[in-house]
Formats: sequence, C-alpha cells, structure tokens
Amino acid sequence: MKFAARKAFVGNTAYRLLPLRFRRLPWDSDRVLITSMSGDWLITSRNDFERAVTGHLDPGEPMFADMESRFLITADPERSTLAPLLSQYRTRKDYLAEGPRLHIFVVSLRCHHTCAYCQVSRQAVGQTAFDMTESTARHAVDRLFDWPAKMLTIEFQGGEPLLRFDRVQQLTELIEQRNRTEKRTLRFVIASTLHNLTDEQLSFMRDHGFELSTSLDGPEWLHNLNRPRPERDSYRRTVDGIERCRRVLGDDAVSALTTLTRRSLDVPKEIIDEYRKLGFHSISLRPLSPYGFARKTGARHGYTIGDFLKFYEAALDHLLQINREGYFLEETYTRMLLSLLLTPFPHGYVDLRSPTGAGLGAVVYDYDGRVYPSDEARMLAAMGDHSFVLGRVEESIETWMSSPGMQRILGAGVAEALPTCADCAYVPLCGADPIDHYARQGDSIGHRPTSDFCHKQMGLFDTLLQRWEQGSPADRDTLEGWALRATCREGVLETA
Amino acid sequence: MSTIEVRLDASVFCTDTVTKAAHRYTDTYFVEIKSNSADLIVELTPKRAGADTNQLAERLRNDVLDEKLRALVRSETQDIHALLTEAALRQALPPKSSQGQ
Repeated sequence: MKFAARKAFVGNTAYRLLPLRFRRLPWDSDRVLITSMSGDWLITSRNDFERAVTGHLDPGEPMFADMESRFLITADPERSTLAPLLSQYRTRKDYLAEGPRLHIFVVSLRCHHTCAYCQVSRQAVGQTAFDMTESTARHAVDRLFDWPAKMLTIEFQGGEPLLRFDRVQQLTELIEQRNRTEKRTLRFVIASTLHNLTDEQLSFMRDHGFELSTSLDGPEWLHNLNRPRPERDSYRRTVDGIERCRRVLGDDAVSALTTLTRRSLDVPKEIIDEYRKLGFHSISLRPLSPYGFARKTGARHGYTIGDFLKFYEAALDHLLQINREGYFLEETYTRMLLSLLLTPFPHGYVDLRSPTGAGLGAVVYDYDGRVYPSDEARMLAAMGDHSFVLGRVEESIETWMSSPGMQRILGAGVAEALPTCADCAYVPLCGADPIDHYARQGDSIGHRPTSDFCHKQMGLFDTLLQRWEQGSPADRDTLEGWALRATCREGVLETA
Repeated sequence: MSTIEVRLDASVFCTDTVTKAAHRYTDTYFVEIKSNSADLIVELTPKRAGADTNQLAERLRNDVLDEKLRALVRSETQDIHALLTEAALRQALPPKSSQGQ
C-alpha cells in the first residue's frame, strides 16, 4: 500500500498572518528576530520575512512550518486551531490571574548606614517616630488577606527592619494566625544588612522559614566605600551576618544584591570573584535607581546605561568563564530574561510585567500607614511627590485600585499599547514601568528613544540573544541551564 | 551643526510610516518632516556635536521600509490580535472582597 501523494496532506495553501513583531538584529542587519504575541520567536533573513508578510511563502518550505509552529502564521483554518496560542499567552500573563503576590511591609525607616546611593529616605537610628505602629500593622494584615492570591510573599523592609524586629515578629505571628483559616501559601523574606543580628532573631527566622536578602557590593574596599559606617566595618559585619545566617538557616537561605556605583563599573571581575569566594551561586548586578539619596548624589555616583551595558558584557564574560571552570554562578536578572527568551513560562518579577506589576503585582505598606503600588512610588513620596500613593491601610483595596495614582499607572501600564513598545519585538517578553518613566522623564508614558529603561532592556535582550546564538556549545548550555533553573527560583527576583 | 535631509517618495511611503521611523531618531537628532507633492522630506539635525552620522540616511531608509512592513502586518492582524487577547485574559479574577457582590 502506498501513501498518498504529498499534496494530499496539504490543505488550503493560503495562510494568514498572526500578530507578530520583528526587529533587525544589531549584529546582522540582513536578519530579523520575529516574535509571536506570546513571545515565541525565530530568527530568519529579512528577505524571507518580507516574503512571508507579503503572502509568498510556499507551504512546502521549512520556513512555513517554522512560522506555523510558532504561531506567526496560521494555515488552513479547517485544520488549524489557535487554542495553543491562547494557552501560551495566558501562561505568559499568569501573574494577572490573582492580583498582587508580593507584599512589602516597611517596619521602620531607621538605618545605621549612610549610603550615598540609598534609594529610600533613611532616618537616624534614634528616630523611632519613623517606625510602624501596632495599629498600622494590624490594618495592613487585614488588607493583605483581602487580596485573592493563593501564594503571598511577605517581605520586611526598611530602613533596617532588624531595628524593629519586635514588629516583624508581631506581623509574622498575626499573618500566620490569620492564615490558619485562609490557607494561603506564605513565604517570608527580610531585606537586611544583617548587622547586629541576634541569636533570638535567627531562631525566629529559622522557625518561620524566612529567606534573607542582603546587600553586598563586592570586595571589602568597594563595599565599605559604598556603604559607609563610622567604624568602616560594613563589609566585615555583613559577611559575619551571612555566615551566621547560613549556619542557622542553611546555605541557600541568604541571597545578596550588588548595587553598582561608578566605581563598581571598573571592577566586574573583582565583584564576581568576591561572590564566588563567599560561596554564593547567584549574584544580582543592579544599576543605580533615580530615587532618594541616589538622585541627590547622582553626579558623583551615576553613569549612563551605555556604561552599564559595557560593564554587563564584561561581567557576563567572566560569569561564563567561571561556569566553564565548573563553578555554578548565575546572574539573577540574566536568568529571568533567559527564562523569558528560552522557556514558555511566566515570571515573578514585578518590574517587568505588562500590565505593569505596580499595584497589580506588588503592594507596599509603609511605616506610616500609607500604601503604595511599588517601592519606587514610596521613594518618590519620600522625595515629596505623592503622585502614586494609593491610600491608607484603613481603606479598602477597591479604594486603592480606583485612586488617581492607580489610574495614572494603569493609563501607562500596558507595554503593548505604548508608543514604540507597541511595535517592539521584545515587548512580549518585556514590561511597562510607568513609575520609573515618571521618575526619570517626568511622564509616566515616557519617550522610548531616550528611555533608560528601554535602553537597558533592549541592550540586555540583544546581548543575550547574540550570546545564545553565537556562543560556544558550553556557553549555550550554561545560559540554557540558567533559564531552566529560573522556573523554580522565581521568588527571589521579586525582592530585587 | 549641519542638517541631513532624506527624501522619500510620497507615492510609496505614507506620512504615518515615515513619522514612526523618524521618531526612533529623536534621541540624538531634532527631527522635522516636510512634504511637497512628490516627496516626504525628513530633516535630521544632531542635538550635540559628535553624533553618529555614519550612513544615517541609509539607516533611516531601511527603518522606513521596516515600518512599512509593520503597517502591513498591523492591517492584517490587529482585529485578531484584539480578539485573541480578550479571549486569553477573560478569566482574570476580581479582588476577593468584590466576589459575590
């Protein structure tokens, strides 16, 4: 028995385009990246792409099958379904389904550091008027459970939250008590310098499954320069704290963030080697933000996104080299971007969502009872600009969501509808950050050709796509390994 | 600083396409778009000395071609794009305290 001729298996040879976007590759302008509405993609020649758009693809050529399988075109409607595309898109936007999962409790603005780049408006250690009251704490817990999310990440921030650890304990116990009936999945994180950590605090964190996030800016000279204390012992205290936490909570319980100053950009290898020396397997290389004290000292510590991208390429080279040597060390933001590029899964990072994560993915309960859609909005308020305050903890979440601040965010919060973003090939993998654009450009919609957010995202996506396409098999394996690991380590990024 | 002028055939490219392409240059250049009966004329004036003017006209012409292709894609897919988005996200939940109201 013979099979029927090939043409018998081909239906209607006409096809129609599905929503797609494209971008010429910066390293090869004769080829383009094409992305589907759910973020699946392929790279092909621009000529072939133009043939596809103008209806000249032949169903027998491989390009036709490639585009069809990625939902860039759809063939005979009697033999095709778009259900998988809907499923892919819904999966990418999974973070929308339940509302905010990240809830930040600012228990005190007090801090014993005087970091020049501090993003928040810290207060002196003795200024207890800047601590969260018990009444505010109780109202905030009530509001926390008004949200529908089945999984709640509760992050304690400051200032230095260890300076009001009694409030951290009270909030934790109130939340756990309430959760006996609510049955949500809880995750507790504390962002701290880890200085002056007591045995009792560590025991409490161990008993309640806390994860710790701290700041380590690199080698001792750089960390002490960036994070000054009168005793010039910031590095030693942080490293002591990390070691004590690991002994009690386990090696993976502590993650660290690096804030990059102008001086940091000269020493990518030294910073990364410090993390390796201390036994970390992940590092977060975070550029400066235009908030709080960071804005006041911007001229001294600031740099351009172009400078940051040069640093990033050197850092990525070094990280890949370290991985080739057999030591696993990943960069967390890179891991998340690679996960978006190389897997179909959603992510938990609130700054890279569309619709925006501000207010839809995260809520901040400030020490004084005010509520914000993001830490950046809180920082703007501390600088005197209350454009994005949602309301107070005594009010309902419906009041917050209909507040003028939230309306302003929503009006500029869908990347797919923003000028220039709407046509960007990376938009299915990117996000809208109206508060960042407001802070940097004075306009929550923003001007993409001069947007630092856009330059950073485009630069990072281009760099990673090029490394993945042109890298050695070993480097591709490393990058793919980071991407796949991201699917089970999302939470840490939410606190970045 | 000298202005670079790029002429594009108005019978081939529409104003919207040319404007979208030119907008991408507004980080480094002041942009003015003029028209006469035959051409759309884009004038690019560097905002600062040292701006990269290498193959500037050629880059803009390629970007205009890409914008024309985007317009073709948009005209064919914008309806289905809206339908698919709505169908995919219809299930998003309202806040808990609104349920049952």
